[in-house]
Amino acid sequence: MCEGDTPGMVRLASGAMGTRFEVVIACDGSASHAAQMRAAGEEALALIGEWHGRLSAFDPGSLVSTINREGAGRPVPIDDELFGLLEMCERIRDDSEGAFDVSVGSLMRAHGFRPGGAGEPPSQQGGRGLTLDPSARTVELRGGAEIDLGAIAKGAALDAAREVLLDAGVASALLHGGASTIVAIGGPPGEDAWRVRLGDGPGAPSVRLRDQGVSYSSARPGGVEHVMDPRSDQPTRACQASACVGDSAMETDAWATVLFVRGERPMRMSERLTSAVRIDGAWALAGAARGRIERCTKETCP
Amino acid sequence: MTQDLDRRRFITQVGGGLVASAIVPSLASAKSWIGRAPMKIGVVGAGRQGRSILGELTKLAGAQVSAVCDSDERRLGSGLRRASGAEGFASLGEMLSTRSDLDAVVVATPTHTHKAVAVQAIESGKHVYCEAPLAHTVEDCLAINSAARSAKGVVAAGLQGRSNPVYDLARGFFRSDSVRDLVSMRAQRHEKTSWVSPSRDASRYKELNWKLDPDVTTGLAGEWGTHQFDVFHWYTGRYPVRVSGHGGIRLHDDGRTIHDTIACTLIFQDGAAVQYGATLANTYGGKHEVLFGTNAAIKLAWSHGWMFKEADAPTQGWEVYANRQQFHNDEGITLIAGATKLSEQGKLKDGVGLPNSSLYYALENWLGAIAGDGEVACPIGEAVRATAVGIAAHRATAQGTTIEVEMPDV
Repeated sequence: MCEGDTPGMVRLASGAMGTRFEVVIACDGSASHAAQMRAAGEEALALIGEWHGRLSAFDPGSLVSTINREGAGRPVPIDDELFGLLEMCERIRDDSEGAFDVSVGSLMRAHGFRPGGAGEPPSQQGGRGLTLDPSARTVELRGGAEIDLGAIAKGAALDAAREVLLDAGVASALLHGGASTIVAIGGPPGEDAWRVRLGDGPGAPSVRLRDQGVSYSSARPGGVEHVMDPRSDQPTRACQASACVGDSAMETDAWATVLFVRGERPMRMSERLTSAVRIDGAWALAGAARGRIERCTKETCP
Repeated sequence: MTQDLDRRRFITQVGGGLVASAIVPSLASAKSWIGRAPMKIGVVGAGRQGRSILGELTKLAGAQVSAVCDSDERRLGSGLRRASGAEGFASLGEMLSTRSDLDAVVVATPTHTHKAVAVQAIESGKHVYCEAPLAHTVEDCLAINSAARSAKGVVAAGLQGRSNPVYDLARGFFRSDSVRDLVSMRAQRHEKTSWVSPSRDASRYKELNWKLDPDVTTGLAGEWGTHQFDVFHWYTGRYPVRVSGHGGIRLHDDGRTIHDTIACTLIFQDGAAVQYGATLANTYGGKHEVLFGTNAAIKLAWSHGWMFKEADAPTQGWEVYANRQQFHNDEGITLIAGATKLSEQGKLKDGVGLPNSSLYYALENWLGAIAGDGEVACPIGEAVRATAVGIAAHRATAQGTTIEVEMPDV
């Protein structure tokens, strides 16, 4: 964890989930308030570290890795927190008509996106998936599935971190994981909302964000795509980039991936999303209303 | 002569299969108690350490967290989310009277409250795992020790080095000709954090921030150092007779009186010494211990371990197959058995580290001992001694002086 010195701001950062998480918290200028805000930021980053330790498919000691080792053919008991997250993943899988699926872990490894030996990946047609038992709070892996929460874990961790900050009395903060999912609390001092730019370049779109999260999924410049389309079992991209704004960073994280994979909206999307957009070269987007990416709302998303 | 014979026997065994057998059972979780009825466990304290414990217990087959206890409503809620089906309680008394079916209790409360919680849990007949340092005073340590001596259940302390498979393996090398004669020891723990827990409520703030309260804290030397000092005690079979130290506030000048940076020296009867440094102001090097010998140095970093051989040290057969890592000018032999094979299977952290945390192995060891599968790696008596050293080191660093270590009779 490290910190930077910006007058009136406490800035902390740490590494988790293969990227850099950063928290910027406004304080009133007094040393005591700065210390209190710093403590809140540290607690938030520590919690993100805990989520990394629990959810990472790269960490052999994580709960997810334990499920991946032991969950084939036998139900593995898990805690309410992870069970709730996996239930959310299954809902998004259904809503996205299969474009989002966290059971692609073995597929990711087969394509070289995760450590371990490559091999013939289990296909969706082979019945790959998860079986969740709500009464027993267990998860079982079917058809060679392995869990990879890479498309939702950052958002989930940021949601949890936001709760820590709010509980500590933080009224103005911005936190992000690798700049691809960003969460705002209030606005910066003297302003109504945080202005968040999505992506790089002079024409990159921006969104005005207050008490919401935004996620951004974009193509790798010149490289092999790292986002898997579970319907075709192949790495894919259907558009240059996509972005979602909503109340839950966990959902915006997942839905930005859905739009990136599909390139079009499915019939049903989460009610907690206020804006979802496919971005194809048309970078001149500006935020207007709360969390709104102008002219490209859920209703107008192709 | 006996020692020489032991060394030769050890080297012969290492040439065979000792290295593999020393580590593989823990990695494979091939424990006889798995498959029996789950052990019902109550976890007391749902702060950061309590949540880590809940996370590890979830991964351990044969353990079932049935109750979580914390006086703080928010912490209790976050603890319960990590323990499916568990019942929440605000006090230990309520938990023990309502859930008389509990087999075991884990104590993860602030250090200065360990005595009250641990003694009550032990006297109620439960198996108890108590976090370390054991207490904030030697008197409290001895009270827990006294309760443990007449306990019906299995009582263990959370000094995790003793159950860590890498540390166990490395200890075998340390006690052989691989390291030979001890030259010196060094350890550090570096983090960048304020040690402050946020709270809007003033009284709750004081309660949560006990580590900065001079009346109850054991400071960096006690809270962190105790765990690392115990590694040296365990390896050498000796305890320091005096400790000198100093400290200061290098970063967190927020009105605290507890040092955020310390350095101390633990001195043993024969003149051997441990140099220890800890800080809340810098992360470089993290947490590790090093034992320097005339044939090699061993560096231990909790999930990882390495041996750095002297150029004139004799070559041993097993080295040919060992995994190696380069550290600037030094080449470290990875101290994990079967590293190459496990790495190929993706079962090692960062390619060379243990797949689970030290906490996982400590809890696994305790659960195994309850089921009659071996002894507890860290009995309370050893935790009393390590904590006594930690408390003395805290006093020495806080006062900038030298203190004789009064080793309690346990």
